[in-house]
Amino acid sequence: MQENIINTFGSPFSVWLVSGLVILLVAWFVVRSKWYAKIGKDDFKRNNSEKTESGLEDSEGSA
Amino acid sequence: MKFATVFIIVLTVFLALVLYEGFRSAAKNKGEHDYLVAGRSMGAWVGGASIAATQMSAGTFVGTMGIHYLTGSSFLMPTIGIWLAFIFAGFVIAPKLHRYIDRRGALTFPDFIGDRYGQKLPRVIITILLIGAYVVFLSAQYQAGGIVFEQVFGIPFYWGSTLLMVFIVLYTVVGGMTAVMRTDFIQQIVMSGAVVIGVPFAINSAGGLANLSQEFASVGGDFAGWHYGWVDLLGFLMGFGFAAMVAPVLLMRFYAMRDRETCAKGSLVAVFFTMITFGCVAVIGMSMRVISPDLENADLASSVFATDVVPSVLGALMLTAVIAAVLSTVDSVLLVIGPAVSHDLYAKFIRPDASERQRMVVNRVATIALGVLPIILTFMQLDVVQFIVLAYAALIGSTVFAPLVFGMFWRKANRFGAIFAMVGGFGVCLLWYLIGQPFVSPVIPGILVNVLAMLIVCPLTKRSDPAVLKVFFDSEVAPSGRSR
Repeated sequence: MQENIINTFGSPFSVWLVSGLVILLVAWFVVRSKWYAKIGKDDFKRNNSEKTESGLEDSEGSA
Repeated sequence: MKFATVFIIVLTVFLALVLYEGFRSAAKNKGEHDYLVAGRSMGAWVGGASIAATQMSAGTFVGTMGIHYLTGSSFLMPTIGIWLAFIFAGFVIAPKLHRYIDRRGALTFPDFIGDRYGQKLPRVIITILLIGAYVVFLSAQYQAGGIVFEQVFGIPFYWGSTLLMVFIVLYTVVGGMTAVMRTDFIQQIVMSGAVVIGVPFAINSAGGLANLSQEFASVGGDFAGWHYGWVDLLGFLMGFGFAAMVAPVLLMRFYAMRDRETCAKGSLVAVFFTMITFGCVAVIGMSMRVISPDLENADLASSVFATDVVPSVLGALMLTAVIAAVLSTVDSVLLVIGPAVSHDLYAKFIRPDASERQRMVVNRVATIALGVLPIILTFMQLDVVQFIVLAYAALIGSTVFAPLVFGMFWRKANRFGAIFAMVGGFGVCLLWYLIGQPFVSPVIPGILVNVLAMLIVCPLTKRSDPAVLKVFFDSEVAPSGRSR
């Protein structure tokens, strides 16, 4: 059925579907790895190597 | 039962649910912080659905479905740009944005521009641009909603537009960001649900997959293939992508989400909802080419599908989805332009000593006024909904992109570069439209000039104040707890 849908709606549909699934999958692994948490902390390592990463998380967590 | 009666019942249930959620959310508003950024308490599902719902406008169900009706499946490609934009915004921009918001207690997008580049000229430029572009954009949304009422009930579209305007302004003014995001979630479920249920009916009415395949071939070899060339598609993809990545109306969702992890997950949820919805819109649009090949206007594909092809209840749900798309976009825009007046103009320049209560009153009055203003433009009957959607997004993307991204990741980004980038990007993008969009989508030269202005002007001019850079780049800045 899935193959029929892809055949019917053509190659752009296939490319689009595969791209979407790949983006979702990669993004999901990135979420799981918590890589995104490093963004915004780029100066942390440079300026505050004595502090732990979790320490910064705590200090930034309060609004 | 007549279709109009079924539509009234379905629409009434939907609107009652939205209104209930809007008023229920009002109880959570204890002040400006709750009203403008939902107390920064929103989760990934509500936040992500709100991003997707805000991105999807009436144009998704009317204009985009019409383009699939005319050209086939290749117009799906621009969606990839939107996904990448959501992911980039959620994973790269939002973490930096959250750290800045933590420190400055920012409540609006112009707050960012003001804090990073200067409280006067840069903030005024971005505020006025946002108000101007979004007001024009709202008129297109009102018109699209009014046309639905006109087609179903035969009433002049301006009555329907006015009715919608009153409804949206009411729950937005009462409930603030909490109401907007929670109702966006409901609206997104309606939008996705309607098209998902609609797909089997569309395929069945077109004679099944095997028949569709043959019919698509008879329409033309490129209908299920590459109608648009890669240059066109890349242009669309970048146009939609850059515009979505830095759209203040979407970034405000990240302001309202509770932390970085929620923002990242929220962007995933947004990709999920857009994937489902845009895919189904494409399938229905293409199937309609087989079911009703002789529509006088491709934009009629969605309404004809709703009224003539599917059972009344589903048809009513489809048209309700169009209304939901209008609601979810307009309420979000109102919560950008209302605060732009109260927070970024009134409280910064007119009455800096205004109390929070006064700012809230001005906010609500401005939201009502700017919600009503586009109706006047709507009565002028602007023709092409999709064009306006594309133009406003391109203009804002061309203005905001470099100041936002470079402002977060490049210490040398400064006020002079930002001003040149905003004015230059906007000007070139507008000029590109005026000369007929030669070669590429206007957002591409707009973004190019936006970025180049930043790269050229910043190194030649004075660097930003170290105190400003500390807020955005250093890790040891204590939260300021600014109240406005």
